[in-house]
Amino acid sequence: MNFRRLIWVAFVMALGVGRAEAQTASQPAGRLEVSFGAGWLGGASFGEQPADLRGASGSPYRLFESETSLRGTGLFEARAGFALTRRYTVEGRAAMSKPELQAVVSSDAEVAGSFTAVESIDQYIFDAGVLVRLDELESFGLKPFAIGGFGYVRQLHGDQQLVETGHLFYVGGGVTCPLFSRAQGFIRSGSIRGDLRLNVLSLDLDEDSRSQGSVSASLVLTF
Amino acid sequence: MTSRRLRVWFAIAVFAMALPGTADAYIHLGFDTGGQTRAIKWTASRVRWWANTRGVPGVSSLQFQSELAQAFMTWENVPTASIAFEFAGFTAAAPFEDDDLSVLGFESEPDMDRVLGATSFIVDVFSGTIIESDIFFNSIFPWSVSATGDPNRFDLRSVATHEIGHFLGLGHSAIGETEMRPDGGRRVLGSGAVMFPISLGRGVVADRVLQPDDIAGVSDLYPDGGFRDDTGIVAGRVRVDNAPVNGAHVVAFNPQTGALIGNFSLADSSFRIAGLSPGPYVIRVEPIDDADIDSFLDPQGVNVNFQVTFHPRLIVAPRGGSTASFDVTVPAK
Repeated sequence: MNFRRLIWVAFVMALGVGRAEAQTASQPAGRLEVSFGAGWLGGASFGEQPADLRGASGSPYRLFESETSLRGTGLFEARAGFALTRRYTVEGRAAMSKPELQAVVSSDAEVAGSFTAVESIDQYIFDAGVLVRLDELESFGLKPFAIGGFGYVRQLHGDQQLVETGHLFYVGGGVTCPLFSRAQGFIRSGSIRGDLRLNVLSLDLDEDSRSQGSVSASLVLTF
Repeated sequence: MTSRRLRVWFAIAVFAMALPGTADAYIHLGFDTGGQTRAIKWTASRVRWWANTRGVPGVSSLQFQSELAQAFMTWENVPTASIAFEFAGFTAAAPFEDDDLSVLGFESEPDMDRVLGATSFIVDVFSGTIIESDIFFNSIFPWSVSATGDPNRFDLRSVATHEIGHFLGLGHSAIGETEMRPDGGRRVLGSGAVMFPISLGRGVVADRVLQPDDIAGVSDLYPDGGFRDDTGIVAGRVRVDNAPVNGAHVVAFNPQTGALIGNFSLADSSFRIAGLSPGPYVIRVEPIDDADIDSFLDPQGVNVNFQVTFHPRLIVAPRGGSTASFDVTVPAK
């Protein structure tokens, strides 16, 4: 029974893809897009920071070394976009994740081995950018696109205590897989969207920029 | 008036220590009164100080005054602290006289052959207000005012900056590493605070510059406008076998900036590290083993029989508040 239902769903989706292709060739299904999805936010290294004391010789005396990173984790995102033309869409996104901040301490002057200290934080990203549709590269029913933009990062802890803020730039791309499209109705079309992004984070307390990749999939509804 | 005054001696050795009195607070100096520890501090917004007229080879009285003025200015320039100083003039009065004058000067103390300098106080025992504080620099040692340091002499401004930290009410910091020398003294391998009790040695001028631990300490004692709102506190307890650990040295390390700020656990095992920039911290706990315990605390009840331990959690210091108390469990030696 379940297998038959799965075949039926696949059949409907295939029909939807076919219809969406036909629709896109003529008129845009709608201009306002809303999407919800989930994905994976890759880790980011914040680099090494030694705990140095001042030595009598002028050279620092190293008490221990540390390396801090943000570990990869799942993310949830919501997005709203507005199609300026058939090719260009401006969009804004809010993403929430709960990564673990991790510091690995090693080479302590008094104790052997390495130690790991971790803590979960809440990370919120609010960004805005432009999506460029590359319909001319469509293949297998998948429509590619490119994205780029900038945003704001806010990391909170526990009772919403601020850990860190900063900004980010991102570039990336992905594909959309149309599910259905119709000329009339409140919801004009639906599609699945897959994103692959490279976020370049610049946090206020960190002098260097950090790269963080992410991949996500979302359901897009067009109105 | 006399009954309310108490001369509290804190032998503030920079080269090595001797502590004939009480130093019972952690970062801040204090004294016991009615079973409670009362921190001492100046209440005047501008503290007047006098320079003794006596010079020593290599340091004239004018150079002495100039170096001290710059050392005072180092503390006055801490942006998150509100304390100011005024040079009141030269005086023939010697340090450590009960004369209501805060006098700084050279004294020859051959019996204190491991003490570069020391600070004493007269305080109001009810309020903890410092009435007078004197500093002596031991003239049995060779002194220098060279900007880059003289390898055969101790840098006066570095030692003065340390002593003025005591003058303000700060105790010793334990952020440093030492090793024993054959003669029983200690050699400093590294120091993370001007208020570390042992000098970096002859020719070194590094203690002219305050470190994050010094800045946090003076800012916590004399907070300026936004200090308490802009910084956070990490608070917790140190336990061994579920029992309290008295006198554990707890250090908060900022993995973003490299800053080290420390404090000690009290008899009830609680500790509190204030003046932290908001953000995550690595917590390291160690026994006092790099200087004599009485350089920091009343040695009675201090536990040094545990291992250096890193807390398994990163602790996030909140802006303008304190963390919930957390326990750091240390294994016994």
